Amino acid sequence: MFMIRLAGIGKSFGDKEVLRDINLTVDTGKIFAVLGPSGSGKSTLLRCINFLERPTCGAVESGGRTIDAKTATSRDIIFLRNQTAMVFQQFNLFQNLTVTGNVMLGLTDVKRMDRREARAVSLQILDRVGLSDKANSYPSQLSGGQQQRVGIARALAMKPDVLLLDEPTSALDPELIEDVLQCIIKVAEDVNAMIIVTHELGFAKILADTIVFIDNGVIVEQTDTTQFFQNPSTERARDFLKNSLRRYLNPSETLLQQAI
Amino acid sequence: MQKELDWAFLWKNLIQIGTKIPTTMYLALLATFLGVLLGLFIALVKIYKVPVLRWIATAYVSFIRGTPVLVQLYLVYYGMPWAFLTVTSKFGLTSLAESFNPNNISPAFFALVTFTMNSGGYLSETLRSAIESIDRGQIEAARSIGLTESRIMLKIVLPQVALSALPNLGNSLISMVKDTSLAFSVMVIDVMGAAKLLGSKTLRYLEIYIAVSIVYWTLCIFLECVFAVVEKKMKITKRGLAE
Ligand SMILES: Nc1ncnc2c1ncn2[C@@H]1O[C@H](COP(=O)(O)OP(=O)(O)OP(=O)(O)O)[C@@H](O)[C@H]1O
Ligand SMILES: [Mg+2]
Repeated sequence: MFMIRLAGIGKSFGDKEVLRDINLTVDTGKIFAVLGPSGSGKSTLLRCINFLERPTCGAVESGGRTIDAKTATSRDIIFLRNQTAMVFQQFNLFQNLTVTGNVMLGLTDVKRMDRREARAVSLQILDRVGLSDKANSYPSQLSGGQQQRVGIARALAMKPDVLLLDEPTSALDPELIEDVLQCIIKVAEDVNAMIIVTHELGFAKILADTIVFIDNGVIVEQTDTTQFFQNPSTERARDFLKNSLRRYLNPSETLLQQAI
Repeated sequence: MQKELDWAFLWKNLIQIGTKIPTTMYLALLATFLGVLLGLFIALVKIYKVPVLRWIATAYVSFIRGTPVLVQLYLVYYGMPWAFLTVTSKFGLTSLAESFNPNNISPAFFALVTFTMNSGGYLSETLRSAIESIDRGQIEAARSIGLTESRIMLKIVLPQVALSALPNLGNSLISMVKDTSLAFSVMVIDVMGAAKLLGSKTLRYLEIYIAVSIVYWTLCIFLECVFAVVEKKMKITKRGLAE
């Protein structure tokens, strides 16, 4: 059984084609990591899944329904967004609400859960991401790592079929990254399926079942994680890994080259 | 020979004028409150680029900014009854026209309409920029968990707009308190109205105008303090004691 399926998704901004004929099926329990160079369309792909960007063509299937980009109504889009939840690079927490308020909002205002129950559920999830003691704080009082864990809790509370994460650690100071990665690994057990865009190759390697490598708006290859890192089947993926690895192993040299 | 200022007289009349503070405050507060609602409506029309309405909104705001309040007051005072009678007679509703004789309507009503329309026009720009300055990321996050656009407005955007627009709203209310002094031109007996009446009765205009200026000044200082406290409170609840 699949949790979400993308069929022929394409996206253009004006004349500029950013995604072309994206087909992807994420089965229950699977974690997909999307890798690719900067500007290749990873964020756009993720944002097309919940129609934060409306795809130009193609369809998303989830929860037994097929939502076509050409005909989707606002009701269809809300349905799709109820099937998914998203964690953002910049956290995007609601500044006017407390930590608990951030997690509760979807429960009370989308799922129509009674406030008391919603609060109890939220506190439980906050405990899961290790933030019980910050329940009554406001986002502006938290560190980046803590804010991102609230973002994760807010998404988890919706019990999505698919959790979407767009570079969840890219905006964090290096010493806070580990914390959030651990948190994602932990909550990965709770979710039905996950699609994560990341630049952390080591993390993708231990977390993901499948790697989707995308370049110039097309899926270049979609391979089992172990195989992708040992022996990618395309030249472009090999180059990407080589470049990333070089940056990873010897950052100073790359910096030096850039400086020259 | 120049008469000396009569301080006892001034004080007595100041108290007298002060009894009309509720009328002035009522008018100013209600007009500002309704003006916020009108301004919000205009702002949303502009933000969502509602066809036709947006052009009307633009012309409206330009008119409100481009004409004196006093002129607007007279336009409403003479224009509304005229419009009412014209419309009712055109549709043959003579009995309606007679039963709701607009000449019996309290002048305060016309003042309220004018000041509401005026502040709505001015506040629409303030509110629009406050709404547009809310970070897009939060709105996207709200969408991503399935909230509808109207819920997002209500739960995420407007509370933050209220906070960021608060200093402006405070200033508007204070301007409004002063603007309502024009309401006397259509026979509203507010603080200014009371002063004018006392002036023409006693003919000691200077004392009366000193008294009325003290009343307005005190009122505005008081409002400034209230807003300073409210703002501080809201900042604290929003940011906690961290700052
Ligand atoms: N709203 C937009 N309007 C126009 N072009 C856009 C828009 N959003 C993205 N693009 C373009 O689409 C392409 C893909 O962008 P996208 O953000 O999906 O890349 P990415 O793979 O996520 O990159 P990064 O790794 O830097 O985050 C880029 O060339 C970008 O300039
Ligand atoms: Mg991106």
